[in-house]
Amino acid sequence: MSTRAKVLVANRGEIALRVMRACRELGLGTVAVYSDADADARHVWFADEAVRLGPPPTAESYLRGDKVIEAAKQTGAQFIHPGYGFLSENAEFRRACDAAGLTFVGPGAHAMEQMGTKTLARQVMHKAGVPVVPGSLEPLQNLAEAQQLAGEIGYPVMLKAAAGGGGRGIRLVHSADELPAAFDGAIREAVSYFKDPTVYIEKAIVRPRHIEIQVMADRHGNAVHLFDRECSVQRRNQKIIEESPAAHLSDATRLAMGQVAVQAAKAVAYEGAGTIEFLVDPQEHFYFMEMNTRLQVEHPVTELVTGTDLVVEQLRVAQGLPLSWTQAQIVQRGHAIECRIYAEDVARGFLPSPGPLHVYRPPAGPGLRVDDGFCEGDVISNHYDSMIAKLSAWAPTREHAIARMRSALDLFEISGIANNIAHLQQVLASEAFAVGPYDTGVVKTLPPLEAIPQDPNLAALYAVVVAHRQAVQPRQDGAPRQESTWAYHARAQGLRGR
Amino acid sequence: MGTEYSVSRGGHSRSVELIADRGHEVVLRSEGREIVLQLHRLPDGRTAVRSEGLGQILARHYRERGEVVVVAGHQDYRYEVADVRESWLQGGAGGKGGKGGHIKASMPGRVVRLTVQPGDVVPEGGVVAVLEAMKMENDVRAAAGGVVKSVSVTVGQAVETGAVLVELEAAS
Repeated sequence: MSTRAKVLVANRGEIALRVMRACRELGLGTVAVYSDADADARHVWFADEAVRLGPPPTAESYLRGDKVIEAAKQTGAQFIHPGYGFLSENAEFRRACDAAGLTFVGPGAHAMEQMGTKTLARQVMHKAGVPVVPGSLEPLQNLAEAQQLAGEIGYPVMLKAAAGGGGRGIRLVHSADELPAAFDGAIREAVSYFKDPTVYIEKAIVRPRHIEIQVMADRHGNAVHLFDRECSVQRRNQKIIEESPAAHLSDATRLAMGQVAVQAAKAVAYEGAGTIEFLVDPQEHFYFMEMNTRLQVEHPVTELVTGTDLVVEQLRVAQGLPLSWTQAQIVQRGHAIECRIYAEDVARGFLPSPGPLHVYRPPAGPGLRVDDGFCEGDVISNHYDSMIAKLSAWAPTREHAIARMRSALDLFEISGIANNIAHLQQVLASEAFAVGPYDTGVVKTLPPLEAIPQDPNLAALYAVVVAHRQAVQPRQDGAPRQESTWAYHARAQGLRGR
Repeated sequence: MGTEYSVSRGGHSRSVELIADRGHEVVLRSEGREIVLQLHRLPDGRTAVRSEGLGQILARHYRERGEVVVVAGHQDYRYEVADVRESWLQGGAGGKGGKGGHIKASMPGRVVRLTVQPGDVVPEGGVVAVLEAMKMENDVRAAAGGVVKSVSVTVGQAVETGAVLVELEAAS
């Protein structure tokens, strides 16, 4: 057995590859885990070793903490990096890792639990001096209590599931007469989505912006923030474009948010990378929304503007090392934007569109970064998230970063599945985004995309040439075209011309 | 004399005449205008398509379900391209398979022969059945290649216009 320390990456796709690259750079061995749907996936073949977890459904594969721990024991891995999603915020899994003598790369179970339940997190943050949205600190007992609190804080209010997340289990209530029905509905939804009927009430922040602060803490009591990310460009309550720094935010507010975020991390004795999400109103009042106790999808924009490697830092902290930087050493330089490229049909309500990636050629160039987990010929599976890639652009100014991103998206070649690049281009080109200020409603202000986009000049003419040549060629020798099955398949799959 | 094609996408159809194909240069007529397309095959498999005043695209192409798919950037543009003369000639009896991989009868008749069975690979233009109509035997051909998924009729069966004869699926 090798004496080299090994990290098992309990995830798939781009984030598994991202983590494994950091491991390689640090000289750590890598172990991948996979479901049957991912047997050919890039992360499996990038790793030094790979262990099968089970069939494609996540409940039988990537969410099986017991199997992940078994895989770590079997391969002799000492560390488990959970990535994001799946087991990353599962305190029970974290405890199981501890019990098995494995080092989980992330915060302790207690911090996860405190931040994982929204009402508890609100109480803890309120006590730590972190501003929270006005509303109930305790779970609501009954409708009468909801009515009384709503009257005190003023409408509109939000009813939220305590165990909620990902934009689900949230109801906006405009007036007192809507409250009774909304209260019952919120409980029903909380039960069906999260198996927990606990709901609480908050003042609805009108035209909010979603701005978050990246924090990093070690087990020696050091904690720093790595500035802000603006994540207000969302569709269906999910982020699609993020940037750092947030445009149209004063430096005073940015710094105040950073300090509060560090306070929040310290209040729960946090370890590793985490994100404090805030709602910011047009007057720049900011309120704690939630803490994500893991690496975020959008961490690349922070890395680009601060010149850090958050995954390398996570792995260092997990090994018990102190933070590499002091707060004063962390500076924000230039501007970075990330676009999430999804396999989805924007014109049909952002419907996921799994399928084959016939062509997949991401752009490259100065100031560009691509985080992806697929390759040409792969199939985007309907079992998992429909994100194909994250494209990030860095430039000295925001204006330049937007221009760089737009040019890079133009050069992205994808065929075989519907994707959201045209929509991302629409947002980037819009005055609302480019000039701003914008809030979480920005996507809804844009006109719907055409179901059938205008074709470029020459494309139809080229199609005629293609059809003509295919029709004419086989007849040249007077016989119908004969083609071997091999050639046929090659053509059907690989787009090899003839 | 050129070949006249009708090219349609998303319900819109236009007529394009291909006048001459000289390899790197193709002369077409569209909407009363003569257009010279310059085609240059790049080492990575793309074709640079340019024409004076109309700009340039870097395109890939493949055929799927009888359509020509032109890939430009992040978007697939699907075209149905039909030889106007040939559609005329074939419009009568057997006809071509329609969209969605169904090969249908284009007029009432009787199935006299089935030349494929499930699992067979059929090239574009391959005969899948012979239909007798108006006392003539007509070949029914596949508009696009594919693998036979199912055969919906039997020899001797009488079929109406639009009846599905054979279902094809894209080879995977």
